[in-house]
Amino acid sequence: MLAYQLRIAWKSLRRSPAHTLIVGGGIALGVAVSTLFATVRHSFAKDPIPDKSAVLYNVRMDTWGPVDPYPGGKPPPQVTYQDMVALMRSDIPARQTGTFKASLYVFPDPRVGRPRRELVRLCFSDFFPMFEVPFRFGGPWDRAADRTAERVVVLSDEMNERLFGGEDSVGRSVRIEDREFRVVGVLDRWRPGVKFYDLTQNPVDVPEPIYMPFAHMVAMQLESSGNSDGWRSPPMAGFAGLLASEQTWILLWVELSSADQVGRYRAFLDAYALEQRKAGRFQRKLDNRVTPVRDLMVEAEVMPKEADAMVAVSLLFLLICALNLIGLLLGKFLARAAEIGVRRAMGARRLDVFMQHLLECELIGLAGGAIGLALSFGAIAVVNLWAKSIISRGDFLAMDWAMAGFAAGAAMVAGLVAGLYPAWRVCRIAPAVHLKAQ
Amino acid sequence: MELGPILRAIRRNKARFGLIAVEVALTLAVVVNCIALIADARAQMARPSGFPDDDLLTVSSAPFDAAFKEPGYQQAALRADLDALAALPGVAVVTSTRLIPWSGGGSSGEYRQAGAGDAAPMLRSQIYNADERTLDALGVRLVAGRTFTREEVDRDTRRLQEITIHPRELGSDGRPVDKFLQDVVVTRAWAEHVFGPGPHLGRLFQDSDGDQYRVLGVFDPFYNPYGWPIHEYAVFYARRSSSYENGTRYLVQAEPGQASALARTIEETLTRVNRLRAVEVSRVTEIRYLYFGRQRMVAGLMGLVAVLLVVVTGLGLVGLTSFLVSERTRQIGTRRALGASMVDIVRYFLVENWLLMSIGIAMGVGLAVALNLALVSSIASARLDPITVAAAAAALWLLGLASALVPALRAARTSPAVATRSV
Amino acid sequence: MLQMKNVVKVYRTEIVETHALSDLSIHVRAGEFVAVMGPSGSGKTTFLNVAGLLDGFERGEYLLDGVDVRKLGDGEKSRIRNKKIGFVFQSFNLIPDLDVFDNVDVPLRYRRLPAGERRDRIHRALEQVGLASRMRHYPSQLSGGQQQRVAIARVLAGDPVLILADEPTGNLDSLMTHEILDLLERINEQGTAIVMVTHSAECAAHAHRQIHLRDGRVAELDEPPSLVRGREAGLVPGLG
Repeated sequence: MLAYQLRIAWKSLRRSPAHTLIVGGGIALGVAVSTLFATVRHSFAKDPIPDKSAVLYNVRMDTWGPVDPYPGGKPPPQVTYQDMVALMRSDIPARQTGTFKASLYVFPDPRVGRPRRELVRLCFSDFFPMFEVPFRFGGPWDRAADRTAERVVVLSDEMNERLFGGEDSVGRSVRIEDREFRVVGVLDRWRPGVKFYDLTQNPVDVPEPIYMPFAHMVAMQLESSGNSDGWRSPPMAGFAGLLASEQTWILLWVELSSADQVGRYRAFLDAYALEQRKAGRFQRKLDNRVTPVRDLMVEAEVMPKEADAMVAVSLLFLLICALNLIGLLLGKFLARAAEIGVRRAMGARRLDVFMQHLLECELIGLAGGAIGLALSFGAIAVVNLWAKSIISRGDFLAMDWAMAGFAAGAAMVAGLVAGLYPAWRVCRIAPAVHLKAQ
Repeated sequence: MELGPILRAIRRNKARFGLIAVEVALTLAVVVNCIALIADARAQMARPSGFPDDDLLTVSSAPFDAAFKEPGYQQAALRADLDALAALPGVAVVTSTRLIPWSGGGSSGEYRQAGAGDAAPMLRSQIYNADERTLDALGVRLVAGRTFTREEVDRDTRRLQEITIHPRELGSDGRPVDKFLQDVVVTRAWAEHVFGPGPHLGRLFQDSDGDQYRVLGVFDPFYNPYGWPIHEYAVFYARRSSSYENGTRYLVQAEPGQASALARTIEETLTRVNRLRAVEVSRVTEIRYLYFGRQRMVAGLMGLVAVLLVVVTGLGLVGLTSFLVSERTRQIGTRRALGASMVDIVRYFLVENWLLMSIGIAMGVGLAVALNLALVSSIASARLDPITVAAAAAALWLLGLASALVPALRAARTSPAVATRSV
Repeated sequence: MLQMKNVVKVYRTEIVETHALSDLSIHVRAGEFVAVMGPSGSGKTTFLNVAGLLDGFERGEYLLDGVDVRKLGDGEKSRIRNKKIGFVFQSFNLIPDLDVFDNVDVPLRYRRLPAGERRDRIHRALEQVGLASRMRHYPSQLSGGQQQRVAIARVLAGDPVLILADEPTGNLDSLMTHEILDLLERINEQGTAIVMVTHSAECAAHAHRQIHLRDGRVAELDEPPSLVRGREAGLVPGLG
């Protein structure tokens, strides 16, 4: 029966191609716009690291001064150097890393280019397996290099392209500031949608092009090129003062694989804070946080505040597109009253007539949805191009299966909204009235 | 007018006529809220910084040579850069400051009124170094007092440098034993935030170390977006950029209309002065463009939706009114047979349409407010403006009339004979 | 087969209430060929619509093949139309977008028969009306008589117990009229009851029995026709 009704619907669509085109086009337009907007929102909201977002936790401690809270009332988003060092002594997390970025001079081969400042991420070797960073050549440095400040670096694919023309540069040497580093790994293309491991600045930024062991911070006296917040002057001058200060500039991440581990780690944090309180620190109410990736994204307000409103507006747009088609479909279906009368006389139930017309609408809906999906691909490309001039990356908005599913669902709902009333009307037609027609 | 019968006819066919009203209502609600979002984005983008953004350039100079580790070399390089920039034709004022308008960041610190106890809340402000030309370069307007003299800048620079090299002795409270007093220039918003209404000249505030600051000058307006809501608060210290080791920044105010030409020449000029560093030049208008990227995108996308929506609804209304007219061909024929003129027929459908549009618009205004309340909870500033609503309603009214005119005119040409033809 | 007792059918519009059928009682036995006659407005078409379950009625009793149809829902009525009744219309009412084969197929589809059986039935029915060679023609490519034969084939394919024919020859010339009436007679001889509404006495002569309707009920033969004319004038239906 379904096949038969599909055939009737198909014939009906073919019979009036202009009508079909307009109705399908209306749905396509609505689907394209709503899919575009949903994709914008989805690109901010989706899980940037689905395999591990449940086990990766950001660590914060309220080390702020006793009088006023850190702006916003929550603990500062980053930790102090002294706390990072102390916390990383814990053996509860399977993996952990403190990390920040610095802006350092990289000296390429003079034939390749002039020295340029590049963002360098300082981190521990756990950073790479923790965040599923993909390698093309080589791999991360080993944990021993973290302790000895071995002069090793990992390059992004783009940096490797620029410095070494894209070849396997493992073992080659690159000068950063005043010293030589050996390349141990080259990343494959790595573009997490949201830069979840560092949300302190532009959350849709691309990852840094260079990575080096955290220990070089002390060896090279490197300061953060990102945010650095403090509430009191360092206890002494110079870099040693910074290290011993209450200045917060390091993001601390831990990998905890069970609720039990999380509980134990929280207890460890609180115990540490209470211990420190004896030394005059942590004078605020105890507020230490161990926050999973996705909660942190919500807290950091990664999603533009307009996103929800824009999606709502685009869905209403789709609804209005569908409503506009009701009149057209009604006109078409009612013009067919005589044929429906015959079918009813031949024993078609109301339900048969209703379903057949709804099916016709869903058929246009799906075709319109497919076209809409294609249109939204184009629209996303255009918006990405536009975004590139603003956020310096042209790949942030990305269609995925979830969004294709959204488009299909939106198209079917639009078909339903447009078709429900006309199909209902047409199945209520009294068959007798139209059989006498000439 | 035949309002009564039309209204009764509408009431009897709620579903069909209701469709038009609902369509109009939804369209109005969505368009008006699109406009509210656009207006909100545009209002943010129109926010003045208080600086002549169009004439400002910011220059970053980052050295990569070990020679810059020498403080003497740094001072000489800084001097040479400033001289070279000042000598460029088209440059009005040049200064060294880390303030980059519209970059969305900077540095900040906390203060409280002098004499207030340790329990008094600390107030946060942006902090920048300024030399005798910085406020000129920013083009801000002093409303009280004065800016720094060259001698004051040199004196304070030396003193602050001294402290960096030879840290002060700390007392038992962890604060320096010897306090200092420094003259600062502040924004009016900051002065009012700390002291309340003026006059503010000569008033004192202090930092957590107990060092005191005296208001030498007050200027207004000032707006530099920051990560925290302190966009309008700024304190300027008299201090020349001293450390060039990790790079320095210059702010250049160009003669009107010269900025884009200067952007090209500055990089080569400075590179010629000293090749051991990398130079990057940006116009403040470019930085501002990037800063408002999100708003620009919101406005653009919402504008697109609003335009598409009006087109779709316009076409939809034509389709629906055509259907409603063609469905009543026989009735129209009967009316014609009974003596209705063509004008009567056109008028009938226009009045009907006018009624439906009015019902739709009335519903739409309510819906728009409801939708706006739902939106406002997330975006506080995107409020509905009554004038916008009225204008959109009027435009929609016209759209409705226009869409009804075509089928109404066609209906008027219906032959009275169709009434007698059996259907 | 078809048993109506005191059936009342009222059409209501804004202005008037028209008794289209008033206390109509008709009995058609299985295998009978009955002609229903009467002037226009006498309720012939209404009777056919009610008989064919295309329309409801207000009061009275109607048993079709022993089933009281009054309490049936849309699904059951549709099933009865599909299985037991075949319609032949004055204007043929073929679906213009379907070819001959697909038109005959329509009722079989709603019976959800397997493809093979549908094909067999369609072939057999078209052979019976002599149009097996025109299977892939569209209605517009056929003459009026041929179209009506397709419509009859559509009925035959469904193998109904009752055929309701509404002026089946009203749009045909006399030669074709004979063809169609002969066909109907042959079908009736095979045991299918036929109720045919017609104006023409010549057509009605093919039937076993004639029923005359006046004013929505079976006319007594002595009822004066003038009275009917007078009543009819008041029954102009309101505008659609």
